[in-house]
Amino acid sequence: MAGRTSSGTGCLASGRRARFVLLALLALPLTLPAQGPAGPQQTPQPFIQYSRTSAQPVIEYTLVHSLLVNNDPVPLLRVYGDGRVVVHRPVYMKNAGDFEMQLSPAELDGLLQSLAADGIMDFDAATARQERQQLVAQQRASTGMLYEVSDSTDTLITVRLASFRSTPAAPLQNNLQQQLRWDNLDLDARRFPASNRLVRAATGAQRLHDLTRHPALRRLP
Amino acid sequence: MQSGQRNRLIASLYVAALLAGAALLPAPVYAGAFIFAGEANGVDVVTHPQHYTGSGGNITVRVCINPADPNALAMEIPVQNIINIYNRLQPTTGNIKLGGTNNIPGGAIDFESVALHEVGHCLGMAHANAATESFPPPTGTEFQRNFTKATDGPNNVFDINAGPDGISGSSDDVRGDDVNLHWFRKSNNNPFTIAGVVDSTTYARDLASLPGGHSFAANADRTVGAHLGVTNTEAVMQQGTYIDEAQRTLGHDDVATLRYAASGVDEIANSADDYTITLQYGGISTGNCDITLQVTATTGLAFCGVGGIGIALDHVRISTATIEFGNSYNWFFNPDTVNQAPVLAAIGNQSVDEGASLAVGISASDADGDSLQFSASGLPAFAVLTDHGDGTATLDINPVSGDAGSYPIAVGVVDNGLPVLPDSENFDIIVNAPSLDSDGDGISDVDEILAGTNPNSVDSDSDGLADGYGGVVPLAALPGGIDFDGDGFVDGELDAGTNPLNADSDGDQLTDGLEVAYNSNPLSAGSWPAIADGDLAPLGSPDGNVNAADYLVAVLIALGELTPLPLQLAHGDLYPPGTPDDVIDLSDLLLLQQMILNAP
Repeated sequence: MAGRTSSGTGCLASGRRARFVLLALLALPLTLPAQGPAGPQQTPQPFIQYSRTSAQPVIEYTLVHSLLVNNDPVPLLRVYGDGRVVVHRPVYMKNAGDFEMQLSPAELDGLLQSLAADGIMDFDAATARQERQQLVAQQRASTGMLYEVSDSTDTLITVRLASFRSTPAAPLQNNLQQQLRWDNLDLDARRFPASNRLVRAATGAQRLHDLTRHPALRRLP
Repeated sequence: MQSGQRNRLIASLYVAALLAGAALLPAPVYAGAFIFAGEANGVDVVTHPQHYTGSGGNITVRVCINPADPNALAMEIPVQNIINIYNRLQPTTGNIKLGGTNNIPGGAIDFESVALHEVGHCLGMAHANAATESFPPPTGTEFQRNFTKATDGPNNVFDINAGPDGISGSSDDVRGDDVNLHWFRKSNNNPFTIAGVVDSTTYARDLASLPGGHSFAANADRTVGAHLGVTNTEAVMQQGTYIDEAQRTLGHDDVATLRYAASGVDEIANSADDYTITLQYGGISTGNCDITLQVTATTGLAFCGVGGIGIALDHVRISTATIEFGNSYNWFFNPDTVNQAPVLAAIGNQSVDEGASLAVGISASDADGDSLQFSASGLPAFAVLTDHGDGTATLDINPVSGDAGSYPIAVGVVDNGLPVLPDSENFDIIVNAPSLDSDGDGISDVDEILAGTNPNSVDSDSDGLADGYGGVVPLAALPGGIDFDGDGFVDGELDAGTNPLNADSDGDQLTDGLEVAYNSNPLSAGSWPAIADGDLAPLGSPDGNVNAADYLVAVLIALGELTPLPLQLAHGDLYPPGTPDDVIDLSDLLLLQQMILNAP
């Protein structure tokens, strides 16, 4: 992998330091006393490492509309490891054009942590579809009603990480290239609020969509 | 068992079957030519609009715009246009307008076209083509998506082969075990035509009813249309919208699909369970809405979310329908109405005297054939507008004494289209006071004063002609008045075209009256009457006597010492008698000499 890598969580510059922190985190429950009932619950953050270069986007986000014959193939949002954010709003979107802004390392780390918390990095489409089918069946059983959505929009999110571990107990994934593709994601999140998986994924997608309209974006010449 | 009970039982069984089936479904249900048709719910499912229960009649589907939508006002005309288009149910060709042939700015998406498509879904129609539900992104291609709507059949794989013509969606496609979902016209399998009667006798889904030589149902894709000689035409329900494209009218296939459903649960036209659909504009409202359109924060472009319930075997009714449009997109809201405004025929100012009556005919036309309604504002109490209900009206004006004056009013007409459009005209009713004509020459004193003539004299310039028209002033009222036509009335200046303020309009020293009396042209100095009375003196103002003075003047003219003017020629040109020769010479002198000698 070209360039340096760093963890989003602790800004670790080397694998050695990361391993140290990881061991320390794993040892915490053994070495620290359990917190009392009044204390805040400490949730361990996911372990994330990614390339800090601008060679390849760490995050890509785009929308593909069934209705449109000529969807613009350029991703709506690209976030590079050096914090550069490139937004391409196609001609059929308001305020069309190419825009750019810069995230600080801490902001990018925070964004990746949020996406991880949204379940984007370990989104399992097969499981989600199975859950959705069950919810559809439940809704039909309770309402006696069929339901269709006419023209879908596919949400596509790609996250490229050097290493990722969702929890200390989870296996470390190297060279993670997570691709989330879901049609009518925000509508499904509204239809199936019981699906934590879909609701979180829609939250993550909305987070990226909001970034495409960030006030700090500057139009490229 | 009565048919209603039977239908309810079938519906109950059907819903139960749907519920049971739903639990077993391993995959999402995809729509067919009718939404909800497919492997899961049945390939023969026909979907009907809201409120259809299996009984015939008219169904009103109320279409609203969400008041919370900041684009609500801009959406009104496009939504009303859509309602007009569905209510007309008119199949069209050439319904694709790209680039310069439409009013859409470059880069924008036409809200009206997309909404027409989505409302189609909300009425029960599915995509005519395979669309993205069969070939989703990122791997699906437009070529694949343009094949005709079908299930993937027993082998769970879409078998797509465009056949010899290489065009996907045409009648020679080879589709393996794919099960057709598209209702086609049995006689020709041409979705750019429509049968007079649309029902199961003329349309089918089963490929066994295809015309000879056809292998699959053709769909109304634009490429298929061009192949069949129908250019720039596509079914509205074909999924696939281009930027800067207007598709605002229905195709034959769209109309056929709606009419097929309207043949009712027996799928036979002209039977008791047939229905018609009327879309009603519910306005910017949330009240009693069947279909609601709104621009929202959805990241989607546009979709209709439809719910449905079974009403009979293979028949589903839409139960809920909401259309959302994403607010991130560059929508164009068409400002032009489908409905055309009525045209009021010109009326103009109306003038009437006090005590008189005037009936003004008013009419209007409407290119859409809408019913028209007239109204008026500013009408005085003596005027009444009567609407005859046939595109005409009458304005009856009956002023009485004391109503004199000018009354600005407006007459308007509105059609009953959507939106209701008006036309109007502002004009004045002018009521005149009774006119005073002191000299009785037929011209009111006011008008005489304005014209400069004498309101107390019938002959202001004393030329023997009345100031106005002939036939008004009796001869007795103007001694010496001219009555060339012998009607007993003084001839008028206005008949002769002469100036009532100038006794000699053509300046030939002969009065207008004299010229009229002798049938000469009073407006031409080259025309003079043949008076031939020898009265030449005094020169320029004959005295009525014929004597030596007149002879002297004649001699001077005959000798060339004096050039005769029309006045002298009129009096002194005596020869030949009755047809004077426009000269005064020796022959005239001889005749004049005789006249003088014979004078008393």
